[in-house]
Amino acid sequence: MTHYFHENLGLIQQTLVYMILAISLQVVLRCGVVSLASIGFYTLGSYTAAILLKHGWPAALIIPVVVLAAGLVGYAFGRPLARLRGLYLAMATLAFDLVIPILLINGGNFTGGALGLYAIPVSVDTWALVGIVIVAVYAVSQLERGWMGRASLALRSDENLARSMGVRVTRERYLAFAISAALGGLAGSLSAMLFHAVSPSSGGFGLVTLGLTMAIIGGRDSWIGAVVGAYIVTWVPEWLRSIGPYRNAVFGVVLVLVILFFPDGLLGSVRKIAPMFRRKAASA
Amino acid sequence: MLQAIADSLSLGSVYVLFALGLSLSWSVLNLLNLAYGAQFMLGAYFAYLVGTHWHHSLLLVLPVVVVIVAATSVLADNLVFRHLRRQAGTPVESELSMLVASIGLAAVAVTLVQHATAGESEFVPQTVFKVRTLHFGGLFRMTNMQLIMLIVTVVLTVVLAVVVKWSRFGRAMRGVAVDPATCELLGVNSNRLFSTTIAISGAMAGLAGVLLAIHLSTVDANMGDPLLTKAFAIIIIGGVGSIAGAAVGGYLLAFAETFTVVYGPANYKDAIAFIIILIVLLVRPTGLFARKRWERS
Repeated sequence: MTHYFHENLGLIQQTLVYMILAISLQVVLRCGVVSLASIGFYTLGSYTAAILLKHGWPAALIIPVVVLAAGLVGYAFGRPLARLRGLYLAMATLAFDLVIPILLINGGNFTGGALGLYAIPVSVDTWALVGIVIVAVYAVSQLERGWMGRASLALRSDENLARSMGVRVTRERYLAFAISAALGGLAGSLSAMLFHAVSPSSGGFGLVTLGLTMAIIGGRDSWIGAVVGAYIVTWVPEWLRSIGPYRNAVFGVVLVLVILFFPDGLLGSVRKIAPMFRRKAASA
Repeated sequence: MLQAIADSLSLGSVYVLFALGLSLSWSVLNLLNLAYGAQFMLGAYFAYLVGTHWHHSLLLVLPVVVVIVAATSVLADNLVFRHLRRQAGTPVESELSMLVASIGLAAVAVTLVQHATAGESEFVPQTVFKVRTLHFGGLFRMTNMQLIMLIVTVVLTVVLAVVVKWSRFGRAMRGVAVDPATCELLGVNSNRLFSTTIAISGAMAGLAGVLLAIHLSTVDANMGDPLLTKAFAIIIIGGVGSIAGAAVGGYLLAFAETFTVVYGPANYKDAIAFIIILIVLLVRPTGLFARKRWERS
């Protein structure tokens, strides 16, 4: 067990970081807000953490600072973006994600240019990471309960109806933006603390598609879906390593099949099927 | 100065040629097709394959490749996108699932070509088309391929704009984009229309792939990615569904980029597209040539 743990430590840490990134996307998607800004905040968070670490700040101080800053910036960002809908919001936030690496490449010594920053002191151990992930996931899971949870679902299915039922639509959107940004920043700062280096290429288009995949295939109605999605996206390609060069093609096929046959994500389908069995058991 | 204008025009043609098909599938099918870059790459790859094994000129290679790429996109629609459209409860949900499905399809195509080319970059042989530089009275120069792309782009834009605006097919296409159910009642076969649109979009991707493979004189598995993000910017600038808008957006972006390189901070050339997206969406969310005002917000 410990042997297995040490052998796969990198992957386990990666999965945990991705879990936070996935719930950061899922929080907004669940409200029907197709924002991909998490990836941009991930990149900003990782650079901020890296620079502060190099200046000798302790990790315990950096994490709250980054989370708070990202949340505030996200809230400010939400204001002008809140009127965009659907794919247009996706485009605007994608532009935000993609412009950041270009600015970082041109940031000179401060951001390390195209190479990025490296030799960052590792400052979070895996158990602290597990703790942070649990806290973050628990916080998000609480948002899905009660009034807040129902309000965000209503927001997704019919905005006007939600408004007429007393949901403060605009405020909910700002809030979702801010929470998503804070989580994105958190995931980024953790990745800088774990993996020694940050580079402008780590947060580009590839991470956008990866994050979106994680949030969708598990099922975006619940944090469990995002957590499952992060797990799948990190580990399935690893299991497919044996088939060598065709690995990504097979992953692509798996992705398409999941979308086709599990339209509500893996978790959504489980939720649909489970009551059927229960009813059978009860009537028998 | 004149040379910079000529460069902008040929770069703009590249962008517009690429963006037209993407704009079409977005406006009619609500499909933000991330596999479009892969379709384009397939066009380039097949141009290399067909051109190498079958020594004919561009006039024969081009139609063959265009048909192949159009066929693959119809196949993708039949196998995947059609089912996603049918099972989606709301448009937003089908948008998202189609987006992720297109990521999967792109991964398949890119990986297969990457494996087939062993990760190397290939080129379309000169027997297909020989690129020469033309000098225009010492004022500016352009290759013959750039000139062909410029002409093809202008002609295609005009033809497509006319078809979408005035033909029966174009009217049905615009109708289906707004309300498929009502159009069905009025006798439009929406599935066939979607397939036709996908085929046209795929054909455009194939065409762009062939011409650009020759222009850039390189073919590799990831060649579609940088153009894809630029194309999004172009569509946003022009307004979704507007053919003329895509054309203006493409040339506008090309001019902005070229003149930034010549007179401004060249390092930020690739940031321009994204900055334009952000500004346009915040200031004028419907694009410069809006078709439907209510659509974006």
